[in-house]
Amino acid sequence: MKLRNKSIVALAVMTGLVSSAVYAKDPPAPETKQLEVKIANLVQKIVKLKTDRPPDMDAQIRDQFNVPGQNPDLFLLALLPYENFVTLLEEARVDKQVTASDPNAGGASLVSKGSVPSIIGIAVENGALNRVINGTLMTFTGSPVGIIKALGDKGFISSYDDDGPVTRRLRDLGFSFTVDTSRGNQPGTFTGDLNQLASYSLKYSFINQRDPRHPSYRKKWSNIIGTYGHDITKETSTFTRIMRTEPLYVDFFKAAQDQLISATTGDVEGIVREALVNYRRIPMPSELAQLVNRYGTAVRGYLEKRGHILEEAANGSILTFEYTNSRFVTDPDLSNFKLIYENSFNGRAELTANASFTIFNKRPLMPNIDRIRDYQAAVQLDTPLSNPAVAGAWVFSVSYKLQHLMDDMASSATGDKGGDIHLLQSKLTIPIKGTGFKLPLSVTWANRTDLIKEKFVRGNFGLTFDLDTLFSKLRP
Amino acid sequence: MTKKNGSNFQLILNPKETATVKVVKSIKLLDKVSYSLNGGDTPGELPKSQPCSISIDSTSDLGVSIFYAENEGGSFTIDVTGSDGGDTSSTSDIQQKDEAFRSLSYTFFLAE
Repeated sequence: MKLRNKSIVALAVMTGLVSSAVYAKDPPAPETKQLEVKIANLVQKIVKLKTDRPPDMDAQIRDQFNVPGQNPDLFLLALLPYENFVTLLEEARVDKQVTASDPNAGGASLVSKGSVPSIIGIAVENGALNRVINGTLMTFTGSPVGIIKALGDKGFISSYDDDGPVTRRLRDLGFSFTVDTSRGNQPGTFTGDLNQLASYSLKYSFINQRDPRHPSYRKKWSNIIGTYGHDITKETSTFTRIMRTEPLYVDFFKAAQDQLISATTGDVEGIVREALVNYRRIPMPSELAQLVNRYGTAVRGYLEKRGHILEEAANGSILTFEYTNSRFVTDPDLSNFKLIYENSFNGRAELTANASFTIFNKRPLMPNIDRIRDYQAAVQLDTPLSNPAVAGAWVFSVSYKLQHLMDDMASSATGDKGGDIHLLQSKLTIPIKGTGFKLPLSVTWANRTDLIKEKFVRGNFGLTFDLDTLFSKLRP
Repeated sequence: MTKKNGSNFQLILNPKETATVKVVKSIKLLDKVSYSLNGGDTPGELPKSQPCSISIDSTSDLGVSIFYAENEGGSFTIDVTGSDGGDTSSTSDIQQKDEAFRSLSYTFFLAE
């Protein structure tokens, strides 16, 4: 009992320390962020063109750094008032931009043999499947939409909309399967043999209000696109006419394009930054100054309202059904049917509730054993304690689980048939930022175990490591 | 339709030729695409599945904006074709992290 109290006090003290160590840095203004990412995008594209050297490279570079062209929004955003534009350009350096990437996609090869693993390996490399390795278990997760998207990215599908009538329904469908490489004739090697398949599951989200394209947000999106988005586009169109007719701007773009075309890849970023500083020095005609002012208002309005919708979506509810089939070498296979409900409370806490039951796929040979193996119900409350961008995602969790065993080994001696196990746990998960390591500290109370009818309190600490985080850093 | 100097954004149309703008690939985009010809209110906001057709009497500027539904993972391809055939202008982009929208601008010239 004393041990339990000390553990809980220790967790509470750590919780207090963590919650005070965050939110120290003001985020940049929303339009600043937009400009930063668009500059990084422009530099990356020009560098890629120079690396790939397509036949129309020069024309494509001109399209990148021109109005009309592919980046009129960058050149409009660059004319908005900023406290220190040169500092902003420094912040926008390409090497500081972390491009969205799936830590599981691409890179490390699978230990594989035969055609099936090759196909799976290709799917992993192309982002159609995610892979997590835990000991001899390899779990692959994916979705039909992910596979269609990967095919589209590879050029197998010429036209693709992930919000089309079919894909909209498939978006909420997912699957996973786990292979155990310790099984089969060649332990330790992924052979693709069916015997290595340890489990597979299908899941479908009936309600997914965390998708910003959920119908409940459609009217709000339509409103902000019809107002602020409309103004952004109108000003972009007029801006194009000014840029291609005002001689100072025409000369500026021509000179910058010529410089970029003759530059080495290493010089591109410096040329873009210097050109943008010079671009802002061109005296703006009054028509342009007024346009930039209106554009700034539209962009800020759009970003503010968009942020509200995304925040609302992030707090939406999810209701998912999941079926899992677990396959064993000697014991009977199991089917688990689970309902999962998740709800967020304005980002301050997240509630997850599960209800499930498990059946034997075949009636066990032993007498007096029910076809139904167990019922389970669990609820967990997760509270983020820190700003992930600053200190990593520290999370404090409290959870409760009830498991009802239909055929209870611990009760068989007393003649009781079933048995209930109650578990209560509090846990603090501490990430070591940027390393892939996590340090979970937990205290668990239970009325009994599967085999012994005795209460226990147990303190645990561990260390988990996501190897893909390391691989993603080593990847060029 | 002909590309002017090989540009995907400076396009030459024959007299009475219609240009059609179409979103051919869309990942994590909102449903509406915004269009403005010469700074006006038309063609306005259209569903991304609906191509946008324009015709011009003189040199004209078309603004096009697409809107990302999430903060990452979006991408698109937009094609512009002419009713008389000829070149196709094709533009693709991948959303940068936290990028909220993307505008493109086209200038259409009348063939002499």
